[in-house]
Amino acid sequence: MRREARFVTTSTWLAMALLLAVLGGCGNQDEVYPPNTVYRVTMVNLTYNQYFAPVGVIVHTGGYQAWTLGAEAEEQIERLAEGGQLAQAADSEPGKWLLTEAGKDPAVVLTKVMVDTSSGQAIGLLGGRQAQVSLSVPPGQDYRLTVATGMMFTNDGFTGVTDVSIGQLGIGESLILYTNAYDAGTEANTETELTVYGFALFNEKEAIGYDPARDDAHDYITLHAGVITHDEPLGDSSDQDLEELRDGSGLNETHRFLQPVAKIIVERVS
Amino acid sequence: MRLRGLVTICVGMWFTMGGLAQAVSLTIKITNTTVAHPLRELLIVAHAVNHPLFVSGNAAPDGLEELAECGKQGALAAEMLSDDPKADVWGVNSYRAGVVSYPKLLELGVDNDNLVSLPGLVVTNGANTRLSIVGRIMLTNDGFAGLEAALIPLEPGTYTFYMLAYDAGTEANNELLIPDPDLRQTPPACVNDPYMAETKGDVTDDYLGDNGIGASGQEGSNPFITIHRGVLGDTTRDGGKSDLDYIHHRWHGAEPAPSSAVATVKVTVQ
Repeated sequence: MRREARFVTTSTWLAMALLLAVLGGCGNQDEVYPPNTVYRVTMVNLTYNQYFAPVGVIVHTGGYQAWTLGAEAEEQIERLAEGGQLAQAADSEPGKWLLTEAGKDPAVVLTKVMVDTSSGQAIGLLGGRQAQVSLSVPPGQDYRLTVATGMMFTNDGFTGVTDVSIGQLGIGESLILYTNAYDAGTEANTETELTVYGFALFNEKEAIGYDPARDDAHDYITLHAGVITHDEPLGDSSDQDLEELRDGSGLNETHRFLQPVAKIIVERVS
Repeated sequence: MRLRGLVTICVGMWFTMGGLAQAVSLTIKITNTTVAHPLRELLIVAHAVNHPLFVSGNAAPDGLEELAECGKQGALAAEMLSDDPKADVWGVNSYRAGVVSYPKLLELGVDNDNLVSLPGLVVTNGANTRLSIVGRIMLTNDGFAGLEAALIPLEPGTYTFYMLAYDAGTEANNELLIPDPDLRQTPPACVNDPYMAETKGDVTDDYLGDNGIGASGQEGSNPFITIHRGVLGDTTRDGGKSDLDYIHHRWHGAEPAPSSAVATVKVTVQ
């Protein structure tokens, strides 16, 4: 990772100074000095038809990491991946949720959920769609960013980034990240209508989202290998298991995906 | 490495305009890494941050639709130069595009024809800090290989990038060949036909089929540029859903490239 060229022309500095002067004129008099650092983070769903649950965003300093590739997923990642759960609701049973647990972590500065830019409402993302969040934090820290969402037409797939440095961004600079789909390793990838939560969200099925049972091939986080759909051509494969998987899958070919599955744009606004 | 799992990272400036200190000369080598999908009419562009060649998550403009569906780069090159006359635009085999006269297939097989090597591409404008490349993925409906606004390194050396398979979001992926050469349309009419841009005779490929009924009728629900979900294919030459083969016509990038990678780009900065 490296910065853009540092050759900034005199006229650009003049333009910046002018702009800052203009902006300075309309600042809120009650604002605490020094002003906060503001980041704007956008997530774009680059899949064709994988619904992303509402997107959790965490600003933190060193010492926090939401997940580790190759390690066992914590309950909050399991809830995110299997059921798109981000935070404890009023009527929730006891447990751990990503934003709720992050809020208790001393390294975490801010937790938020991405919103639709026109309505301001927290939203999930259909394929090709995007959501955004504005993050205002006290200046001067070596901030890191975690962004996470569940992929709702998988059993336990999720995507995002964790512990990415953003403190180095100057005002006006941006960072673009492409994210992989991960398999939380917490639920077998049967892709049935009963276990893929997207069917409860969109097709009024009785699909179970979060299930505390752990029955995946192995109980650790891997890159997601993709989904088997009922449109899958199996050829003359004599693999009975594969055929059963195909026939039991509630997914169709539009739910397939390759890596990367999302683009995240981090802009430092001020 | 903390950023493990991320596909690519670039840091940029969208506010203040940095720039290259002096004209930079590039050698670009592009290798098709698919088994069975020639790339055609590659368009290579060095551009400013705020004049992208394409943006994933956005709807494809007409020129990109024509490139992805018809394999013609002229309209996209013209759009690019009209958006930013200072962009450096090169079509494969015709330096300084806009005058694209010798389109060349980038295909696997004979005489290293899977590799194009383009020396002496001079970036003439200091604001052109980004490199984007697109080319039609033959034997798809509206797939294109894309490098999206990679930061051109300032230090002399050779750098590796990956072109990913994108879906332009403009045509349903029915995976059907043009059944009769007489039905072939020229641009812009070819964007209205429901077929891939090729007839069986266009590509030497024993795995191509006939008389498919159509792999997918669904494209309308996601009109945006996404990562291509891959070819579905089928197991029969005659009939079936698709005129493509379920193994031969798939692509799957391997680490360190993401699974959607279809070409490797080596950029040498002199």
